[in-house]
Amino acid sequence: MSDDDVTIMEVDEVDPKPSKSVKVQSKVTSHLPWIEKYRPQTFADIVGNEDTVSRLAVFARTGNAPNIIIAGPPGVGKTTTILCLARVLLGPAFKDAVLELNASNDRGIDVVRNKIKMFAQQKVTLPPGRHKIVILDEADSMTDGAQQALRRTMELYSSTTRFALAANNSEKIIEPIQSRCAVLRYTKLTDAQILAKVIEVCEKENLSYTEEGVNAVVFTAQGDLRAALNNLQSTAQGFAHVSPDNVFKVCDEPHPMLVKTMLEACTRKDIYEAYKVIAKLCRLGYATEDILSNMFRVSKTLSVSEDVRLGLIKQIGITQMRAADGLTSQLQLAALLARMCGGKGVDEE
Amino acid sequence: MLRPSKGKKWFKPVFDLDDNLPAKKIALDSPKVKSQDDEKNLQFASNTNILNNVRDSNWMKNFDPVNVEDLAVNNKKVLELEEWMKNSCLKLTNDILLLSGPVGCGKTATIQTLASKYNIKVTEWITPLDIEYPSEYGDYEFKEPQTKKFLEFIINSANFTSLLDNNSCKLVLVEDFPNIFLRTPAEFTEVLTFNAVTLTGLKGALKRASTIMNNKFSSTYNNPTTEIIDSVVNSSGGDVRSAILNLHFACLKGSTCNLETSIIKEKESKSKTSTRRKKNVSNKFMTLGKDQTVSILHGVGRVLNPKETVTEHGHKTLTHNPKDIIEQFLSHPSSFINFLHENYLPHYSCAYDVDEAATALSDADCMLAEWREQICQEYGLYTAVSGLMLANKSPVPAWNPVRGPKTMKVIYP
Repeated sequence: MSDDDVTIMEVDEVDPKPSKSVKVQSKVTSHLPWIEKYRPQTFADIVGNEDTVSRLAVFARTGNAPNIIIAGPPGVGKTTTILCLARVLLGPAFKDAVLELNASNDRGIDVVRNKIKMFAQQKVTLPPGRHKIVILDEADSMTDGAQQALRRTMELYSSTTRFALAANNSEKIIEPIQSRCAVLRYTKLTDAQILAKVIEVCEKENLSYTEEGVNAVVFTAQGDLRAALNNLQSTAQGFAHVSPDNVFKVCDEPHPMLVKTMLEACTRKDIYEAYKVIAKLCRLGYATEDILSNMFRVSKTLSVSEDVRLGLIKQIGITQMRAADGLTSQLQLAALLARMCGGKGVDEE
Repeated sequence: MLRPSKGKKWFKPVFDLDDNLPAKKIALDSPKVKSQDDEKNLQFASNTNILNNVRDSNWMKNFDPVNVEDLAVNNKKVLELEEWMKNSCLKLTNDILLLSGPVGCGKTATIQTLASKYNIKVTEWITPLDIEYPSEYGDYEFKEPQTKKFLEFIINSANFTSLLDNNSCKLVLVEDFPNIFLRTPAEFTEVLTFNAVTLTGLKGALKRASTIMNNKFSSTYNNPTTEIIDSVVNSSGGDVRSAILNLHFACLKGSTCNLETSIIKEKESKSKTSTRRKKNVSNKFMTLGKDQTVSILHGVGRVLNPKETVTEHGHKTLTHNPKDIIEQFLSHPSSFINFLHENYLPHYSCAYDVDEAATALSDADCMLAEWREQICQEYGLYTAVSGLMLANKSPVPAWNPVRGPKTMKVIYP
């Protein structure tokens, strides 16, 4: 649906001739970000958090949805859910009856007091049980004052307007607003859910991929489906084949296999082996912070006993703090390796 | 709908529950004026029409209390407010009352219900738009300042009476008190503080709501079971409005999945709410409701009483992986660690273990204080959780109640 919209707009701008428009159309579609191209349009396509999504689907059918806050980490489908709800509820009136404001819009106290109120007072003809929807994306970045001003507005216009808020952190939304909304908490997507979606997209795009390649995409995403699709698209555009090497090259992350061998060398107290890897990574030009966060992610899944893992993670954390202080030299990484090889908490085996 | 006597007023009646602590509400008894703004007049009239046409356009309105008995508020508070209303409104002595209390404890609802009982007209101050509609170029002019309008409103509503209604008692309700007039709340002559609604009150309100749901909406909603009502009551934290909203959500027909609930021991929640309960087990919604303490208590229990399982190779592993625990708390690591810090000591039996645990906590604290790198939060959380779990080599088997951290006020996330 959105593809068509975009194409039409592009065609109008670029060239009105029909002969050329065909060419433009294919070009535009292929260059549309996959996160938009594959953004779910119906509730059935939304991955994860089935219990709340299915309930919202019922509201979309019957109308009369309450005000909602969806809270959860990035890339789990908060905005997508709200857009789906609005699309199903409002149908063709979507354009007139939805006011979408995100963190990039001005959302100070004036906007809430005036713009949102004006929208709430506008008359839009809708079937019974349907309401205008104000979507406030990234609502946790709204100031307290603006949220306070929203409080009463929410109730005064509750017969004509519904509010849908998305936020990363529900703590940052003031209590009166939480009380007026149904708070829905989304959890991080599991690796399996992301894997399924990534493979689905690969097949739709006719991509050649290896199993390790898609697993690498999932590893880089860390529970964020949007990041997964972005990384997949970058890999596809750059190499047209999804293999682990390509993925890590495109995402510009140290290869986790290298990091893994390094950490394993550390647990064997083999500092020479470990240092070879770190020297190579530094030669390749990776930033110290990136190497460290990659080490953290790898060590979370490393097959060692829990106390060894704790020792490793503690040392990585301390080094990351030093890096935040500005000490990003290779020396710090070498010191980290030394501590990990001989440090307390590392296995005596 | 519920109160046809109010249907023709120019303002949109608001029978809803209300407001957070700093919310100020003055009610002054005075004759009421019809309107101060023609344009607004029209808009509200149209709003009311819509309200009447579409019966269920505002679901929450169906559950507004009709009689004083329906209120979930403590009887004594209601009596106090009633007394005040009788004194000041019916005897026509001008008076101002400030009502304060936590979110959703029924402040507005009590006023509206009592006012309708004594046939007092309620006029509400609604913060007006302070700009004109923008021109086609998007620029707009500011109207006259709010302070002026507010004063006008108060004077008008105090001095003039409407031609249309014939009762003499008026009440002016101000919910959005303009900040500019609010220097010291102590200026208010009388202050009445409401407490959060008790569990029994909440249960009563929800029972009433469920009968209404049965009568009116049996096609869309399942009849809520007592189990669902209990879960809703427990996860709402004394907030009637959010409890009803959650009930709405929980009873919806046509959804295939059940909401995930978690069962916690009664004693744990008792230490939080310090109320007595007869039942031994209560459950809360994991994905719904504003009270997240349940998941925190869960996590604290898992961290402080680590259980080990032995794999077939003879290796001991922790039943609950620290990685899974930290993923639940990534959005508010410090509050979780505060809980751990408050509670870890009674669970340890050996001083060496305590040493190790305290080291882990202090390391974690150090990492959490690093604000320049977001990922340091994760390191800190991991160090604390995993460190506490591993340090506890012989957990005290006795049961310890979970205490809330003293150093911080628990904010329900």
